[in-house]
Amino acid sequence: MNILQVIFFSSVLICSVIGCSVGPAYETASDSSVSATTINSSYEGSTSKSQGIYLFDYDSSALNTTSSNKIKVLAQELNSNSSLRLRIEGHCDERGTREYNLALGERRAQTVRELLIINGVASKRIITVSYGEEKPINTDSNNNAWAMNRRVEVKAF
Amino acid sequence: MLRKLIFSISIFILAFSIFAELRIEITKGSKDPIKLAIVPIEWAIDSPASIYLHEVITKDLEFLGEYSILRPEKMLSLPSVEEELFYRDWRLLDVDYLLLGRAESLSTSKEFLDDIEVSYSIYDVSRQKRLHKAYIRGSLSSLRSLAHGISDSIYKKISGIKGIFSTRILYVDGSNYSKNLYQLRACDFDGMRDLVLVSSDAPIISPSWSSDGKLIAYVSFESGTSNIYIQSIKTGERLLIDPQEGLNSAPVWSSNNKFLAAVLSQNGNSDIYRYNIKKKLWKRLTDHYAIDTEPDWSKNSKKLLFTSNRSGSPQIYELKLSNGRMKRLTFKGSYNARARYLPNGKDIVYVHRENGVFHIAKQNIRTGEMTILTDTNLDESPTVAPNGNLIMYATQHKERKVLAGISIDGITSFVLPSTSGEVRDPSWSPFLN
Repeated sequence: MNILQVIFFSSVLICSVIGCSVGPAYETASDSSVSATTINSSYEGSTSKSQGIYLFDYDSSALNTTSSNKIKVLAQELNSNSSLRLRIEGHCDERGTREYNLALGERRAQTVRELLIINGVASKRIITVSYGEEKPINTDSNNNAWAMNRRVEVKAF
Repeated sequence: MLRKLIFSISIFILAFSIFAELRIEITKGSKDPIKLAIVPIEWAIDSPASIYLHEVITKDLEFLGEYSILRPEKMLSLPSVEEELFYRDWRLLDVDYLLLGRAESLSTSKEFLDDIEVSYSIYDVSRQKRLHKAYIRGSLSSLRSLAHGISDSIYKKISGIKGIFSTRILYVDGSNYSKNLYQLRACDFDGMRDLVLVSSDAPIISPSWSSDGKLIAYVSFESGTSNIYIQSIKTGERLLIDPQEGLNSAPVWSSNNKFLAAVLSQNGNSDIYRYNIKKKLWKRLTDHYAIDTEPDWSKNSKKLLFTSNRSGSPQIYELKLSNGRMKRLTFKGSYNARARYLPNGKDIVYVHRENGVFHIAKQNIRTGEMTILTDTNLDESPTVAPNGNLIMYATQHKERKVLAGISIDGITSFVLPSTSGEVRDPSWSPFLN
């Protein structure tokens, strides 16, 4: 019997001895019960009137000249009707990661908010929210759809 | 007997049609698999089986492409105990490993008829040796859990790595977006046993598991803006995490479940914060005028990964909590985001854009060496299996939004095609058994 055989047989012997003395392993398989939760949202400004949609370039929170001018006009209208409150919603296209887009949508909403404030709208009248890529206008995956989805919606209530 | 068989088959079909929201489809597998024989498990129980244990085990082990499983019709004998086992029958069929098992009722009393025990053994055919003998207990209504438990045990004995067959996936179903219905769901790793945890008329994003798998955290827009909630899987009990003005988002649990890392945005600028769940205290961890988001804890919770566009484009950074030191980890390309640590703490996976296409990439933290793992487009939300061997992510497949997966070596890939077509934001559970 060579040394390898000795090692082999003794390891088989040790394994079988341990196997017998320790005995089989026990496990338990159980299904945890699960309960479902139903949510109906409610918030101020959930029913509101659109005051326009303002579009943005990819991965940008800067407004182009056309949008800036439109917002200045909007600010004038809002100043003449100071009872209205505003909900500014920032959105992104589907490309990139959801949380990064949420932060980007927040920036877009802030850009519009700041421009309204500069043009005389009281900050306390404004709520901002970002939906990131969660509420697209167009669910297709192409340049046209993406351009429509990179937007800020201003709503009055 | 025939009636019994028809009965169990019809239950099986019924169960399959109810729970198969997502179904697995393997797109690529290993070239040199280990050959296994899973002998049908002897059913020494009066009530019929709703599913065949050996079929579930076979599917589990074939899932990764590492094993090829001999079908019962090709077997020369069908032993259920060691005395009936003749190794030559299996050597002739080139089988490397073999599973034998027997399922019995734990009690003859009618009250406990549901409690069963499966005894099973794993054999190494070439060495003519039993590798493992064990019992697993469960109920007739949870046969699938029993089968997954046996698969985990086989995988561990043969590969030396803990199996993921008993793990679950949290994900968001936005298929009924047009009807303003968003659902947070959980299913087994293979898409089966799919259950709704939350149904809402407002978007839900960023679900994540506590490290013991009992609680989840997620972001809901139900109050008109993004807020963080934690919820018990078992009771459905919900807790709103002390909301701050602006974004409240991207929650992830520390390994001791005492903290969440999350994102808040004061004055529209998002930064990483730590929330002490018991003391209800927020602590700011990053302070930069750029976007900081998408935190992930290292396994020992001493470091955090996050995405920041402070360099002008989104890149991955690592923050050491003890001294606040930050290190940029990614330099290739102009879009690297949403990183997750692998359990070894040495590698990370993240979303990488190359030529306008979004892929999942893997990178070694120390060497910086990066490998692109996926060849799909619009890939996002990578999540790592608790054994570190598989990545699941959200992508598009045949114009549907699906969850797909790939082994960390890039060899095996799979898709969980949804019947509804708009699923996203997967989060892989920790080990649950």
